Amino acid sequence: MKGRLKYRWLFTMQFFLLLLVTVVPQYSWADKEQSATVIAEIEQIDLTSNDYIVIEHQRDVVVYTEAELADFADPRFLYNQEERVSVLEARTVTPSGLVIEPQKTAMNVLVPHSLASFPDYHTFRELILSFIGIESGSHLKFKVEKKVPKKSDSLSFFEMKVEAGMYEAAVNDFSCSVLAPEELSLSYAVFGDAIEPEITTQPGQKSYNWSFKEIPALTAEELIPARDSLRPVLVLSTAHSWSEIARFMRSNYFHEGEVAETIKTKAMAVTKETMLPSEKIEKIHRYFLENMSVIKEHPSFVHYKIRSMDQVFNTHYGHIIELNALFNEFVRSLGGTTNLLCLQHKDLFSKNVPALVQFSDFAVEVTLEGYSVWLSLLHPLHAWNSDLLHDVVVFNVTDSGYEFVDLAGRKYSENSISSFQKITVDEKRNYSSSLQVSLKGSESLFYKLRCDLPGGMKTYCENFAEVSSVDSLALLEFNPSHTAFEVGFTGPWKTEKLADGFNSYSAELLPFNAFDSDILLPMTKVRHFPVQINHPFHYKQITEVTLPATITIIHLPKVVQLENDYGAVHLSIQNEQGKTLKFSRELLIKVDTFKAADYLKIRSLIMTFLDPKWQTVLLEDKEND
Amino acid sequence: MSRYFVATKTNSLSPLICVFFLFVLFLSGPSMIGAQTSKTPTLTDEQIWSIINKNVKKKLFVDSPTVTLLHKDVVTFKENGASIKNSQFLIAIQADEGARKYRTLRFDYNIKTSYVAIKEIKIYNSEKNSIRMVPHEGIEAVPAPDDGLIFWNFSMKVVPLGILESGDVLYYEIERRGMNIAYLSADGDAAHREFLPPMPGHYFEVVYFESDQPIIDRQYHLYGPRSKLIQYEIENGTIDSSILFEDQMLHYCFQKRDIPAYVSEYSSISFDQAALKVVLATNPDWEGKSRWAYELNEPQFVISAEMQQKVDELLTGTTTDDEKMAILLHWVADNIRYLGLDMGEGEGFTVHRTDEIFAERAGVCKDKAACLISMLRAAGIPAYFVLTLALEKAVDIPADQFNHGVVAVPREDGTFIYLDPTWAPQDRALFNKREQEQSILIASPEGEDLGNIPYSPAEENYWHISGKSSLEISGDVHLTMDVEADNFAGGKMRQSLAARSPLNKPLYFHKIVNPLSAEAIIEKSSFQNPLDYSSPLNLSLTIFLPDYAIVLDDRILLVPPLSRHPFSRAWESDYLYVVDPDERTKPLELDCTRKMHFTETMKIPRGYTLTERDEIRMSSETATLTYVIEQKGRNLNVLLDFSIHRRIVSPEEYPQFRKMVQQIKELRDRHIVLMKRSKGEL
Repeated sequence: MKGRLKYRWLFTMQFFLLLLVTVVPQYSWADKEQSATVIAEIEQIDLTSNDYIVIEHQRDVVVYTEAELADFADPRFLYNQEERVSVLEARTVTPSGLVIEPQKTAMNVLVPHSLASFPDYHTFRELILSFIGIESGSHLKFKVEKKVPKKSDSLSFFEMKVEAGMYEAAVNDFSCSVLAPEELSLSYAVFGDAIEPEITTQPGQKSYNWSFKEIPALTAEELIPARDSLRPVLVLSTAHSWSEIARFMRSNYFHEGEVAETIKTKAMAVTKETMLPSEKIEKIHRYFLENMSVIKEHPSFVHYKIRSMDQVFNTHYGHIIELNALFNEFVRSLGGTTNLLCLQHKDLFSKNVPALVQFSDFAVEVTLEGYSVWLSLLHPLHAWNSDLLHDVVVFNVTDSGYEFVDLAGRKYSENSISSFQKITVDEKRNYSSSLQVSLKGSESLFYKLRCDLPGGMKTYCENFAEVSSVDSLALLEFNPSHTAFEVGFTGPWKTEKLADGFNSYSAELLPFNAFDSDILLPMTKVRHFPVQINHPFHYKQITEVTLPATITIIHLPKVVQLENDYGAVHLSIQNEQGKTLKFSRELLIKVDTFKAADYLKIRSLIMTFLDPKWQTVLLEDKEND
Repeated sequence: MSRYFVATKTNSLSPLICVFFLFVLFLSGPSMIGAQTSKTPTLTDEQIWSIINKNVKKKLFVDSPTVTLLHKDVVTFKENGASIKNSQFLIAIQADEGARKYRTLRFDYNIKTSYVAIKEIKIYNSEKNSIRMVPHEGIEAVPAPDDGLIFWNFSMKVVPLGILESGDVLYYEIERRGMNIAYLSADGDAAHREFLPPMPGHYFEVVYFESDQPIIDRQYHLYGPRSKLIQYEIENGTIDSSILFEDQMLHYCFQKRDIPAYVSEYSSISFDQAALKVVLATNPDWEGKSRWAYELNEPQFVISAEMQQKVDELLTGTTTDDEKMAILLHWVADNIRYLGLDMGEGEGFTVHRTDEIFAERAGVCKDKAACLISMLRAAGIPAYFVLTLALEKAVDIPADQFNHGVVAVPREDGTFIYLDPTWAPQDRALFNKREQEQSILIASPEGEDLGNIPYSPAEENYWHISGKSSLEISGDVHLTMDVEADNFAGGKMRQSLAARSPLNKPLYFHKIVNPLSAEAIIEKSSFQNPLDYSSPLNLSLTIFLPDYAIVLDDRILLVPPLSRHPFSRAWESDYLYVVDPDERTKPLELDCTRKMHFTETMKIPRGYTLTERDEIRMSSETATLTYVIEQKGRNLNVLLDFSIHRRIVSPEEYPQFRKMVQQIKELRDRHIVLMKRSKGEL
């Protein structure tokens, strides 16, 4: 699941900058071998005031190309109506030393795009600071302060996630400091770097400082993991325990008393004429996916009281906690219960820091009439079950407590595709085929066919085989961990015409989910970041094609056998008695993430497997050509 | 919904260049102007029930999730051009999908230049025989999100409608005064203020009669003083129209019934161009508008000392005006970033002061154009501001239909050279060739008629890709590929090469050669600085293709590498991705006219012969395709040339164009056979 959970809270944002530059080198826009560099970015958090948390964010970046301006020339700061944001400093320093401060019209306060359609969220604003007078080699410097009122209730705590650079450019120096009352307990964790804070104490106060140096630029590479696992991330919290977090979530998530009549009526209508609890849950889930809009960008729900369930229902939108809570109300209407699930990849999570900000995804555990299932309102069910619920820590908040659930990573042996197909081609080049397929683990089609793909198995078969006629279909196994089926096709046999009466033919690759079969992993020795696929897996396909007498086999490719630490590929085509072609195709990939240094090893497995050259035969059919 | 703000972007294939201009848009509306009588009484419940019931009986468009039963605009304008527009909508929700579409109503406007009053919102349901009033009185305007990087301080009112269901009918009525971009307001509170148009005394509008959902009854009524005659033109179909004398006013009435939903086709020309519409204006001719634009903007062209110094510095050593124009154009293109800050009065139809644009190094298209005009003038080259409609043609009615600002430099022979600094970054042409044949209006003291940017033939926008390759007996191929590209073609490559991080360039080269083979190894690459505009762009790649050909005992099969069409991404070769449907009802819009010219000379192993010479020639008004492969000695010579002569392909020409593209696709996989000569054979 690492890097694939799409739901990101934006609490992360505020950083600061030191204005260190004294001598500015001269560059021209034409000097394209330079790219933007963040000289310094600094985040300073002051927790010592009784009234406010004060967060100062500074940045000093030097930009060389116009394209880089998209990341740096118009920084945006999101806040809500209780908070105050002030620009303390903003200036462009050109290579010749000219200092240009943006005028008032270059600082605009607007409702953010992401919230424009949600009037209940129009209390949020975005300050956009536009730098002017920029030339190649200019420094763009700002210092912005945000004041967050402290709450006095017992469920109040401070938490923050600081990502070292949410852009492509390299960072010379990224630092974060926290000034806190001496007695305040601050827990913290750093991911992506082994750095420890420098802690200093002065009367009544304690200061923590983290400094990250020489963070490399990000580059566009295929199958790259998500940004938050490529850059250092710091999480901070003043919450005392996970019980406190659970209490906070419970107060927002669970609602006591009768479910509102309008919600109850809708829940009944959505599930009417449905008997099985699993189907009732699926219907509610589908209703939510189709009718409720999830607000994905939200500054911080720790500082925002969720709306009443009536209001969430009437508006049909909300942030994920609100919608999960509304889902709970639907389930309660039917006599069931739910828990709230908070998830994060195990490598980006620390149990030592009780903080909601650590979680990147939220879901529900539903129990109804003895049936229980985990559901997400953010992801298609197939992706959720096959790839997201692995290597994950889950914080499960119930109405009376909480527990952690550690979901292990999947092994390649658990995710497999195996198939056996017999194809008989007649002299008119029509074929009949029987295909047996077994799909296990993350490759099982259970959720895809039941929920995500209209038309189910038949559509699936028609799509992958590009045939007009599915003559028979028998489902042998159909559950979340295993799908097996047998299908009979007929149709025109397709080959590719070459010159001189030659044709080429290749047995069709079965669809799989482990990675995109159109992927381009270029033949290059330079790779900067790890390669990540959806899941490890084992693919095995045997296809036997019996040809009519009119067709002659001209050429078979050589057998390919490749094996390394990460897996193996075996590709072969055998000519059995001159009339039957036996295609064997096998790929084994043992893990889902590969070090950049081992790029060529994983590349060779994937690209060899996908290269049609090793699975294509040359045929001659004088009669039909 | 009425359209009240025009902002045109380049299409998504060109994300690096974003056009936007100014020219306003429009909304005005009626009900009361001064002492005039309202022309549009709010519909009564009885009238609305009657419309709903009539539609139920008609059973038209029952499969559409939503149907507009009535969209009626009534506009009244005065001698001074001030106007009020009253709009009534009645929309039937026929499926859940339709209910989702209408969760809220949003109205954007600029509070300094216009006013929107929500008169009434109700939900009718005939099954329940119910009417629900939607509260809207307390809805406050909030600052609307920016439009890209344009910060012209728009506000919006967003009204939640509550839960709608299939069977509901939404009725709403709004009143708009003024324009969204025009700072010429008079005194008084917003609800009663007259907002004068940018060109006082005149009224214009572009009124669309289609939308993304079917419309049962679309009406547009315009009331104006008899002294202000309206000229209009109906485009893309027919609309019933009439002109009536009413009191002291003329009443222009346009109506159409039972209009199906507008269906866009992949890569077709824009809705604005293709939809049924009326374009109307009181302005008598383009010349007047041209003079107005000149007089309005001329005071803004201010040459500061810093600007003069920069011009002198940039032009040191130059001798010809052509040289000077190119240098100044590219300086503005690359150094004035696209950013729309609000200048206050006049924003949207007037350029910013050019000394300020120069100092801020920021502006939208009109401001970039204005800055270039001042810099050209500082270099002694006369230049004019030009209004234009990016990629499109305006209807020949002198209404503001423009969305982009560029520059014209007069020649001695009375013609003009055009320059567009907004679309020029990473493009060598003075005027981006994609913008060929679009409408323009030069703002000059004499006044100009509506004109067009000249056509750009395919030969101006070329990729010349020449390959020298050698085929080994093992099946390996060594290839050197030299590329020269200019104008549109060069711009595409320059933009890729000038991408943010230099680390990304290798991936770009791999994307170019990937169609040849996933196993292609790029052994060497060299390319020209993409920001050197002194010559067409050059790129050279040395490529190794291991195991490329199929080697049999007596023959070798292969596709000549360049026949596989490197540069085949939609970024460069959009035509490869737009010919799926057999036919089209709307014109196909391509990026640009262009010439893709591949030549390859392949040295083949001694003793092998090409079994068959091949030649394909296809031609139409839109495009020409030539493919020839032949053997000369030990060399195979391959020529593949595809020239696109028209940027817009009509539905009639489309099938032939499609055939050519399919032929190119087929060539990408067409193997040739090299036969081994038997002993003794010559």
